[in-house]
Amino acid sequence: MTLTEKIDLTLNVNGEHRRLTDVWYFESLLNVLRYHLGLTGTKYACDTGQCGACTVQIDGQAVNSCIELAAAAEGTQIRTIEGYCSAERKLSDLQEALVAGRDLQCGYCIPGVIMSGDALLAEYADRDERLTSDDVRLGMSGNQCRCTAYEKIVEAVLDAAGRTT
Amino acid sequence: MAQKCDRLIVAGSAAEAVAAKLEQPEARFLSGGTSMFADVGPAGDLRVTLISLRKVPELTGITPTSEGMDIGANTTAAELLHNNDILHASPLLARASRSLATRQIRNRATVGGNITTLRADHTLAPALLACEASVRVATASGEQQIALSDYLQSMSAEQVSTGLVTAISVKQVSGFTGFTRVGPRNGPCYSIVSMAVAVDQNQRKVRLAIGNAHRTAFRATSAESIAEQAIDWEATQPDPKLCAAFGAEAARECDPVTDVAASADYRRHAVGVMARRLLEEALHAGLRGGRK
Repeated sequence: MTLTEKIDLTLNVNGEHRRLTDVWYFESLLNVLRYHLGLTGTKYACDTGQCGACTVQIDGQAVNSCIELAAAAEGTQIRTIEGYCSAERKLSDLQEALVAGRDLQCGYCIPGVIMSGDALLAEYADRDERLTSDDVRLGMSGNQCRCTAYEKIVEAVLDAAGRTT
Repeated sequence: MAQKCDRLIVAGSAAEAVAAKLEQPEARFLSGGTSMFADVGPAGDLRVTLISLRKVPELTGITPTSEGMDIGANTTAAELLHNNDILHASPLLARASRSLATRQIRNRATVGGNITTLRADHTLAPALLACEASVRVATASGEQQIALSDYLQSMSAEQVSTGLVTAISVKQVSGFTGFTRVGPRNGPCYSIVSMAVAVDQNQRKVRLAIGNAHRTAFRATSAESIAEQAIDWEATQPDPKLCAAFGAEAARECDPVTDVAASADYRRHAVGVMARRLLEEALHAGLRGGRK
């Protein structure tokens, strides 16, 4: 007997309902975003949840999309780097701060850094707490940058926190 | 219960999940899914039948009880870290959660998954054992409450049941609690050895739980007895000899393995040093509070 292993899915991605057919039941959200929906801003790297390049926001929380079952994300609000840009195509405070930092090199980790940093900024804004350098280091420790621009990333998130408050 | 395909079942209740597992014993429960995906790795093949627990309402919520706290199995590590009830009743759990992987993983990894996957390097089991946790297991014949230490031992002996862990009950500890671990680096990584201690001055009890130095996380009961009998519960003065004996006994009780991360000798040595330091810290703190 052949087991059925393909499913239909409806995902809410960047505010739009996206109907998908012919998805393997075990496919990761990263796979579905990149190869079914063409949203390649979310980067493929370690595929084991260690590097953070694939970070997206699910219901406002930073999540590694490479270890998130796409089928389990049905009924949630998924936000990718493509949905992060404002309608006016204006850079956010965090993006401005990252650009101002300059030392960022290849940029491969940056979509994940932005999704993670934005969720961290929102979390602290909600709690009305001042973000410290230690908070950023702990909060962003799930985002690796092989060009080692960590100091600039920490500075940029702190700078963005300062701009927002 | 919704069946998305032959291989993916979305359970709507604990009873549905248990029934599905009975029907397909080889199927795997999926909640946060972080370990499952990470274990498979790049180009891996996750071709097992999955029973998703994400929509099971009985697995959610953190409820204060007369003894401490009931924690739903689907509670994430991030919720443990930020929940005010947990911070009040069991700061040890919050401290252990802080050292669990990265923020992205903490947003998804669940308490239930962290203990039922039985990975020796997983973080929460030692902290839960030090809080004298018990697990509530739903089976086809009803619910059972089992001490976490018994649950871990029976599971590691491959007495794998079709039961589903629905909640974890922890006792409130009044006194010093501490959690420590050694790993290959300071950033997010697996533990080579992890350890939790709870010293309850009111009940004159010491609980020492160790991770990754045995087949599963375990309580070093002999070391606990040494400390309980020798601590001056009134004066709580630092006592280097007692701390050294406590560490040595903990090292004697463990049964570590040599693997790619560390040798058995290194692990045993680490256990001795970590246990000694935790008790020193507890006595210096007058058996109150603990590291934030």
